[in-house]
Order: sequence, then C-alpha cells, then structure tokens
Amino acid sequence: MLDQHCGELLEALSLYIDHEASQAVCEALEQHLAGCVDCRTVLKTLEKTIALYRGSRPEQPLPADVHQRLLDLLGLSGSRALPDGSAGPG
Amino acid sequence: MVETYSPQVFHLASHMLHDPQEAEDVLQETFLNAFRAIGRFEGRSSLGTWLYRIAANQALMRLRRRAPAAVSIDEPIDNGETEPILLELFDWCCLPEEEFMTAEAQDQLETAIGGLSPALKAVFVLRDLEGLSTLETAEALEISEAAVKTRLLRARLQLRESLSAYFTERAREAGLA
Repeated sequence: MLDQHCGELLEALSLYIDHEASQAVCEALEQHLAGCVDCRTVLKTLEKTIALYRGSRPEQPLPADVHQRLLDLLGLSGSRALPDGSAGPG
Repeated sequence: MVETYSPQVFHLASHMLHDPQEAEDVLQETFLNAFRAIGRFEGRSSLGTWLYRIAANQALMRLRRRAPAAVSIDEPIDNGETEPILLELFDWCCLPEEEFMTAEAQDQLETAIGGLSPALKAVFVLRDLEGLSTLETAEALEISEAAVKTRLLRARLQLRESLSAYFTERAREAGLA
C-alpha cells in the first residue's frame, strides 16, 4: 500500500528514470524501492509506459502530398534546397 | 528550413492533435508564421526550438478550442488535476511482448494520450516523443524547467494509470493476475 513516504519519493521518479536525479535522491529512492514492492511496480510500469510510447512512434518522413502542398503554399515549388530564411511566400 | 524542420513540425502536430488534416494545417500555419516573422528571430533559442514554439502554440490553440474548459498552458500547475493518482499496482510488464503490439493496445496508447490535458500533453509530446531536452521543451512552451519536470511526471503517471487499467485486465484474462 502506498503511503505518504512513497508519494514523496514518487515525485522524483521522472528524474530518476531520466538519470537527472541527484545522488542523494537516487540513494534514498533505491533504499526505499528495495523494501517497497508497490513502488517497484510503479517504477517498472512507468518505465514500460514510456518505452511503449517511444517504441510505438517510429519517425516517418513527411507524406509527399503534404510536403508538396506546403511548398505550393509557401511559393517554393520546384525549389528544394533553400538557405534558411532566404525566401518567403511573397 | 522547410526541408529540415517540416517533418519534425508535422510529427509534433500529429502527436498533439491525432488528426492528419489538423496536423497539416498546423504545419502550414507554422511555416507561414515563421516566414513572416523570420526577421524578428533573435537566435536566443535554436531555429528548431523557435519553430516548435510556433507549432506548439498553434496546436495548443486548437486543443483549447476542442476543450475550452481544459487547463491552459499558461495556468498554474498547482491544482487538483495535477495530483498524481496511483490506483493500479499490478505489474503488467509480465505480459508477452505481442500483447503490447496489438491494434487494440496501440489504440489504448492513443486513447490514453488523448486524455491528457493540453498542458500535460504538450510537455509529454515534446520530451518523450520528440526527444527534446528539458531546457528545449521549456523554451518551446515558454514555461520554466521546473514546470516541465513537474508536468512530465504528471503526464507519465496519468498515462501509466490509464495503460495499467487496460493491461491489468489483459493479464487477468491471460491468468497472470
């Protein structure tokens, strides 16, 4: 059963997962996790949740028709390599 | 600029809006606005972050129009809806990997992210789906790094809760829970 102490430590879970938590916070969290099965479950399922989202969305190229309509709108059709900011829609 | 950043802008809009037509609208609005304002780009953030900021604002405006009562990106985060709620405490990671790859499971991922408030969704999409750093996300959304961290935790916990309800049920059906 999660208690108030669990809740306080869970506040640091994102930082812990992202390896951004301080050493002191990591040690406190790991010490707590060793004795708290519920918090271990939360950590494990939280990591799995993030992994599922990251794995479910492989980077896709811009659809060709969407790309073409964007170039048409911006008046850039036929011009594929523009210097940054050097051209505009007019 | 268009060739380099249009895929990323489109991905961001797609992730936030889950509507291909609206995502294309945001893509077009973003570059039209960027072209108009390029002279005012001061280079304090990267060009990519600047474009993300324009795109995120466009997407958030559309999300707010869909749900006017939802939390604004500008609102303080210290309110009731941001308190983490942890009800599901079954470890569903024991499910076979194929259970996570079904069309139904993928729909659950979409449904869960659709349940996030615009403020939480924007942070989650930029940090966890687009891979921006905390600083880049803060600059793109014009909020503090502390707010990014807090909202990211809230978003992740809310998504975990939503997915846990679904996958725990799958585990029960499989006799694992």
